[in-house]
Amino acid sequence: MQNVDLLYLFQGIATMVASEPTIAIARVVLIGLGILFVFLGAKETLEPLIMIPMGVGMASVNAGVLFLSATTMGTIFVDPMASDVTKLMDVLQINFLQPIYTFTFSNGLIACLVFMGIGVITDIGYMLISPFKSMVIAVCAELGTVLTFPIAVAMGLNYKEAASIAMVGGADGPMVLYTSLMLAKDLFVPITIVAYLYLSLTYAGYPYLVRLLIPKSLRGIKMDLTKIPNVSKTEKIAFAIITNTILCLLFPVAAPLFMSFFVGVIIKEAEVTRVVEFLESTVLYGSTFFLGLLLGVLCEASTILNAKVLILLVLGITSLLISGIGGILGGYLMYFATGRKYNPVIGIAGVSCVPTTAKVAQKEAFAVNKRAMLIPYAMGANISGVITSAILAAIYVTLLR
Amino acid sequence: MNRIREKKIYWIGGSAAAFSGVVLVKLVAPDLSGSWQQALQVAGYVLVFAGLAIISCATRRQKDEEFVEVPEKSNKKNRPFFFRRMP
Repeated sequence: MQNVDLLYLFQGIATMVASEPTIAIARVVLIGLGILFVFLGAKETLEPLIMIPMGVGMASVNAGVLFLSATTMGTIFVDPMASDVTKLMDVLQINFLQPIYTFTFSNGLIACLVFMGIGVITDIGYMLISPFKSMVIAVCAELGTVLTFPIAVAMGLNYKEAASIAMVGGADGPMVLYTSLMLAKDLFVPITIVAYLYLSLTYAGYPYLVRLLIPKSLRGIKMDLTKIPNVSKTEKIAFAIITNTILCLLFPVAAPLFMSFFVGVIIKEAEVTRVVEFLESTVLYGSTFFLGLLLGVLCEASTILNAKVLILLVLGITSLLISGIGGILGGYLMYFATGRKYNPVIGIAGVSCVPTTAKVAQKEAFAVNKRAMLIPYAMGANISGVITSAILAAIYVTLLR
Repeated sequence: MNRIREKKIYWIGGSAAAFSGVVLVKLVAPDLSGSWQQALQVAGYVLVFAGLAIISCATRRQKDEEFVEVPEKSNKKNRPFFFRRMP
């Protein structure tokens, strides 16, 4: 008993002592950050569906570092750097989350599964209420995705990394994940974490932007709900399948994303109830849970400690801010184009964080005028935003891969 | 299906325009060079999005056609999906 080495017994602490001070400090900070995410997620300040599993994963992976051999330290969660076939076969049998990472993350499947779920809860009919206005707003709301690219290049990122972080402006988590996996595999962990962190803050942050840029008198403009056409299921299905085919032909590199989204839309409209239930609950929430857990687990200090993380944090918020401003400018454009009958608050819904930004638009209008019902128009802009984000992701991937 | 038949000109015209755009971008433009290639690519993309816009026009309704009925008060018990929490 006298020879028992306490540090060897508690390897989580022993590895902290044995590692470089920077790594040890980063591990402590990340454990604290993980606990904070869990707390804020449980309080619903941050999005609980993502932040709770991410926080638990982050705290656990940084606490659970052990000596894998006499000289190497690591975890038995996941090894994102394993690419050699023999090593991959080994780690698949050792690391408990490795199969999920290898078979769903590194090929973008998880992004597609989330997109199927989003497709199945999306009513494309909202977009068809006023397709031109929705599209104009959605295009304006991509301002951050476009403008952040040159800013990122000027800040020292290469084109592929710049495009990946610029996609945060599209405010679509799966899209950022997909683009960064395709273009900047070395930085996809910090980029995706930055994206999800900021996306979970949009519900809290965008209302202030709306209040700052749109006067109260305009926020309460009532939209005309008597002119909403009753689009039949057949029309929705026909529109979805034609749009999907055309976009896949045009941007084959993003075809998995387009297919995933539109298959969800079509299955919902075709009323295949059992599959709708499966995609809406099991697939969407299951993949979101594992997405959060894996993102947290990938936040191991030695993996995430990168000089570019600070730049990514600045660029991520810049991109989202510019997109929000762009969306509101689009709202103003429609306000003037329609003879001051269009509520400019709908502009914020062009940022495609489905359905958060549409809810923000409705909430802000409702706070001023209890009779201002914007949600059908806001959802139209929101769904157009998803499509324009996917098109922009496809353009970036096609041009830069 | 009737509504699609009634407005088949939009559906067929829009689809034809969009697919022609794809053909221009993916098949014709790559075989050309210089400014012709760029011009045809831009024209192709414009045609694709114009085609989709034409299709979406098919869902427009005249004044005497059917519109969605909007209830005076929302039914809290039967909330639509956008009030649910999601990623």
